[in-house]
Amino acid sequence: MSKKIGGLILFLLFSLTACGQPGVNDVPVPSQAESDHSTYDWKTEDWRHSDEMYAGGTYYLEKYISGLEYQPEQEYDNSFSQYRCWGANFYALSKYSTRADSSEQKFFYLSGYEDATGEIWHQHIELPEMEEYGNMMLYVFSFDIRNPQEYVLFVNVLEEDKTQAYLAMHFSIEGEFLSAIDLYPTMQANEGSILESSTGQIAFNDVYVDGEGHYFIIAGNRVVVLDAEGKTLANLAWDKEDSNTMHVMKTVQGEPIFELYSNAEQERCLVMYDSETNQGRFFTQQLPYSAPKAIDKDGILYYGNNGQLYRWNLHTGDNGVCFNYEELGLGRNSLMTYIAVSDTGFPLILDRSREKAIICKLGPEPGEEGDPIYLASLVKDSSFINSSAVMFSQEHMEHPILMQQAEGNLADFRTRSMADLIAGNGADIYYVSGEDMRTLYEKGVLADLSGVLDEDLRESLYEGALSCGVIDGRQIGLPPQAYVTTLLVSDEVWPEENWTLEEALDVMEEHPEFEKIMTSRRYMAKINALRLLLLQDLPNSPFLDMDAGTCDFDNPLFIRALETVNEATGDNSSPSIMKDGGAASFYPNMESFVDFSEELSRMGEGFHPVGFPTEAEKGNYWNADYFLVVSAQAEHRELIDAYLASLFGWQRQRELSHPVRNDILEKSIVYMDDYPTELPWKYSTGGGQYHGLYTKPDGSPWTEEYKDILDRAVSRPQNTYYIEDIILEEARTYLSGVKTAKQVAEIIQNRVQLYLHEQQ
Amino acid sequence: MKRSILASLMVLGLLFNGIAVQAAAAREACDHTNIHSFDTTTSISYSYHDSNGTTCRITKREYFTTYVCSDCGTIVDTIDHTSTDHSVPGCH
Repeated sequence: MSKKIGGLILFLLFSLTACGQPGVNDVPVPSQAESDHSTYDWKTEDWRHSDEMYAGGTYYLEKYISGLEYQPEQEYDNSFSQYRCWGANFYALSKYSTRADSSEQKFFYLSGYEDATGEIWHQHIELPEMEEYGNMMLYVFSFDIRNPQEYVLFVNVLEEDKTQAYLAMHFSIEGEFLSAIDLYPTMQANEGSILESSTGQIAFNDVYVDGEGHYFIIAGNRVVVLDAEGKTLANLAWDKEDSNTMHVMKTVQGEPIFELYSNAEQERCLVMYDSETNQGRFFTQQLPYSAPKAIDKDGILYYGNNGQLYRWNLHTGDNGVCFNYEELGLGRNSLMTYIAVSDTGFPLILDRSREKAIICKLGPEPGEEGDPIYLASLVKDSSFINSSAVMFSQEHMEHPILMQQAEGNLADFRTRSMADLIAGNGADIYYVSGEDMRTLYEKGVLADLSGVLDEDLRESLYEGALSCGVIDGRQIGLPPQAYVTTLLVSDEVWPEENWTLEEALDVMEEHPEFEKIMTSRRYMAKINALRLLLLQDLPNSPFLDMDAGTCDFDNPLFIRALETVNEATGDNSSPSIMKDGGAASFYPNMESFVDFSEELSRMGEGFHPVGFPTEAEKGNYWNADYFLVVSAQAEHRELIDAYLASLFGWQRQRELSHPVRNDILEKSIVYMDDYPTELPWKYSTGGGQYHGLYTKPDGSPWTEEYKDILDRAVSRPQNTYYIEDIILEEARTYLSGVKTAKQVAEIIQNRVQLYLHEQQ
Repeated sequence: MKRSILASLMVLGLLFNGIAVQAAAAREACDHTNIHSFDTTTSISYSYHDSNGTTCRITKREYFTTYVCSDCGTIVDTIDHTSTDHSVPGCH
């Protein structure tokens, strides 16, 4: 009997532990390569999927390529570049305009990067005189690459601002004019190929070409295919409602492939032209929306998704991540990201979302670049630091900045990196937490960065934010981002702009209907509430006198505060709790203006920032989580300092959700009144990315409220961390019920007083 | 026999229940200060627009961001977002 019971227990244990483990009950079906790979044709055969783990390998950054856009010597007022990809090459059409004496002049350059040779070339575009158009104005609207020997410009012919023709002008790659054909009549006949704005200005939808000279006109929900003479051959379309079309890539033979997407059914497919059947060839695989894509001659499809580059072997079904480009800060706008594939089968990625295009070439091994400056990131997300390093290095190729990041366990990498630095080895620059910065400072291995940011630059930054990196009066770390902590209170409950701890506790007593003295939307543990309420400005509290070296934690006010934290904090609440009169104060999300706006829209009007309880005037505090620090032994300090300063430039800072520049907010808020959306106010982080903003009841953004909190924020003391740690450590024993508030207050008093005596 | 099987099942039940309670207690004892986040897209739509004489493609994405404690796995916040990617900055 006991054997049966034991067997039953063992059986149950085995079954339960086996549940959920992949592969135990689902034996993967091996991929079946029914035909030889060399004869596989992805255009006509199935695209396969494999259940086995990805085996395609990991790629590495081999090198960056810069200089694709032409930099004209003459001055210009505006510029705009378009990009195309053909095989392993990238091309850019750059348009420059100058405004002089109320007339606008434009000039154009075509540039190309050819991967086989590594060459970058630039060509000034000179349009030929065309007798049939007399003195009409010719404006280059768009372009495409037919093959590496020929390109096509799409030119709007205007007479008194009215289009007379839309020419497809063919040129040899050396710039020799070959031929032209007018596409305007065909485009006029195909609805959706010409767009008209509310002001009457027209724009032409993109046109592409293939190696055979066919034209592909995007016309709303379909692609119109024309022969070389402009005669309509086919329409590539499907029958799903509310569809849009976009070009996604070309085959190695230069055949364009398009994506059809149905908003109504949230479905998409790829389609290309089949010249044999004169119809569309459809591929119904549901690839990620608007993802950059490329396909090579062997049927290897590369596509991006959430910052990861996938490699899908359509023949074997092997599919998985081969590279993480998000870590480099690339691909934040998928509409501005392109993928090419080299002749050796390795991808190149182009990101045009910043002032200059970044091109990175991938390979089987990391590349070796000159005499690099090493930047070690001991932080999980360092994409901003990385992309900034890439942008900077493009201008300083002799000493590029190379990121070192954890490939496996971050904690292990961090430990090793810090040990290396303390031992006198390691990287030149580090991206670290505040705690690590203080540890490294105490070891004496960090440089003083006080002179890195010049006066002009410092004026455009929040000084309180920078002070988060000041230790013993010296700028030891530079925080590229910082945020303010504050509390919001009802105008009726407390109309003043600040309050002391005693006043805050009295408000709670006078309002027994308040469940919480402080709450927030995000879950907040009581220990965190204690830290925020009591420890942000200890020198300006009744409990600590740093100058005299005395403290007074064993007093009724501190005990009362501990008890209130235990009874009236913890958990989380919707911002609407303030409207309902359920809490004395609310801790808003200040990590981004977008999220702040959403919270305040739920809370409504009638609240103002009172800050955290303090004996001083202001209780809004600057905080920074991560800092850039420099090894005291680093060489190339001029370049390092220039890189650090570049992180605080306007173009870099605007990408961040909580920048330290004080001139970003208003310039980043835009109103898009003719774009149908329920959130017409938007916050721009650059690179064509916009985030919808919730607004006040009158429809205006919460700009003044947010800015007011930032402007009134002060730096918090940087010399009380040890005391704060003592208090938090002992307070946990009270919050967990091990000790009483009085007992804990006595212990804190003794420990802190002893520490103060030791410091003296 | 039946009593023995029932007793065994009760023991197993108590065993797993204890594990679950410990896990819940661990989550409650956590400060949730080590947070990571991820986005989940709920809908996508595309459109083409003219932008002062150039065509522009706009992708509108509705998604929510989930904030999770990296130490205990508790979801500490979720925020809804709407964002748009424009192929030409400023086009609308």
